[in-house]
Parts: sequence; C-alpha cells; structure tokens
Amino acid sequence: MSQKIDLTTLNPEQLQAVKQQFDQELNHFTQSLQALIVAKNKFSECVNDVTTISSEENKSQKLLIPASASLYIPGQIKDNQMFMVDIGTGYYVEKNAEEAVAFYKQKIEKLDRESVQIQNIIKEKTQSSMAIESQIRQAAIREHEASKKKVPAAQ
Amino acid sequence: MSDIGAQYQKVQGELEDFIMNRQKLETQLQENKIVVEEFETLKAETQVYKLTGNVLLPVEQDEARGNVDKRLEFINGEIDRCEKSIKEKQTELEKLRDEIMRQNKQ
Repeated sequence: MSQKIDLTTLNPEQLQAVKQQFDQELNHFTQSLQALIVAKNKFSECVNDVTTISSEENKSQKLLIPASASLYIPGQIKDNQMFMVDIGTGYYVEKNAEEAVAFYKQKIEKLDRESVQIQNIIKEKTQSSMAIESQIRQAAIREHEASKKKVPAAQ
Repeated sequence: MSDIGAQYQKVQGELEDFIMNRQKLETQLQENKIVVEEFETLKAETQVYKLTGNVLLPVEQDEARGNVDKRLEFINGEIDRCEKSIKEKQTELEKLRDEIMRQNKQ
C-alpha cells in the first residue's frame, strides 16, 4: 500500500472501510508473525535435541524406538554424531552434529530477520489504524455538531 | 439484474480460487528454492535421501538436483499460468462491475 490517501477527505463510511482493510491486514501479519515464532521454536528444539544426543554420555545410548503409537522396540544409538536433516520437499541430508546445529541456527537467524521485518510492518499498520480511528472520531464529532446546528434552525 | 450480480459473484469466487492457488504455488516455490540453496552447500560425499511414501531412499546428488530444478521450472510455469488467469478474471470482474454500475444508474 504505497498510495497515499488524504484521510480528511473521506466520509465516515469510507473511513470505516479503510480501517477494516487495515485491521484485516494487521490480522494477517500478526498471524504470520505467530507462525514464524512457532517455526523458530521448532528449530530451537532441534538444536537442543542435536546437542543433547551428540553429547559424550549419550554415546551408544539405549532407547526405545516407537514402531507404532503403542509399540516400542529397544534400540541403541549406533552413531550419535550423525543426523538426518529434513531440508524440505521430502529431501533429507546426512549431517554431523556440528553441521546440523549450524543448519538450524541459520534457519533461526533467517526467521529472526523476517520476524523483525513483520514486527515493523505491524507497528506501521497499528499506527495507521489508530490514525484512521481518530479520523473516524473527528468525522463523527463534525457530523454531530452539524446536526446540532441544524436542529435549532429548524425550530 | 440479479443475473449479472450472480455472475459477478461467481467470477469473484473464481478469482479468489486462483489467488489461493497462487499463494500455494509461492509457498512451494520458496520451499524448493531453499532446498536448492541447501544442495549448493553440500559436500560431494554427502548422502542425500528422498522420502518416498514412508521410506527414505538414497538418491544421487545430481539426480536430486535435477529433480528439484525440474520442479522449480514446473512451478514457475504454473505461476505464470496462474497469474495470467488472475489477470483475465480481474478484467472480467471490472467489465461486470461497469455493467452493474450502468444498470444501477438507469
């Protein structure tokens, strides 16, 4: 939305419509921000998991592998330095602990950058929304005063 | 009058479908781009797997790259097609809107 509209030239109905549009956009961006935060938390968890599993005391660690929701098979970690990382669209890549952590950290940084961008947009939109709101109020006051003047004139 | 109104709504619905489709394609495009970027950083000896159904199958790096490139090409083609449809629907909508305005004035 690069075009500038002089809010004072709009009537209350138009102002309402503009405000609604802004609020819709605001909603959309807030949802996007939420989604980014969820994704970031997931990646942070992955970093934690990789660091935990690759630690010295978890070498040859015994564990139970879920074969179904209610059936587990005993297993043992063969190599706690190798991980299979999902890089998207169904492709997986073998990475060692260091590379895996670097991969996830990079993702987190990217999400952080995008979060900042969205936060800035949200800030801007909120300010615009508030400005429109105050215009609506002023328009309402103008209308109210105009109708007050009219009434005594009619008497 | 209600006839053209119904038509307007129908076209508007179709336009929305195309826009949703366009968004889906954009998501796929971004995901595939990320995968390509990741392939670029791989070491030559790194093993790549593809999730097929529920099984991870090992694939050659070249094959995986070729696959993703092809998919990118396909998605880009779909995006072009989708954008064209969106533009068509938008002009159609505008025409209908003008028509409705004219009828309302009469």
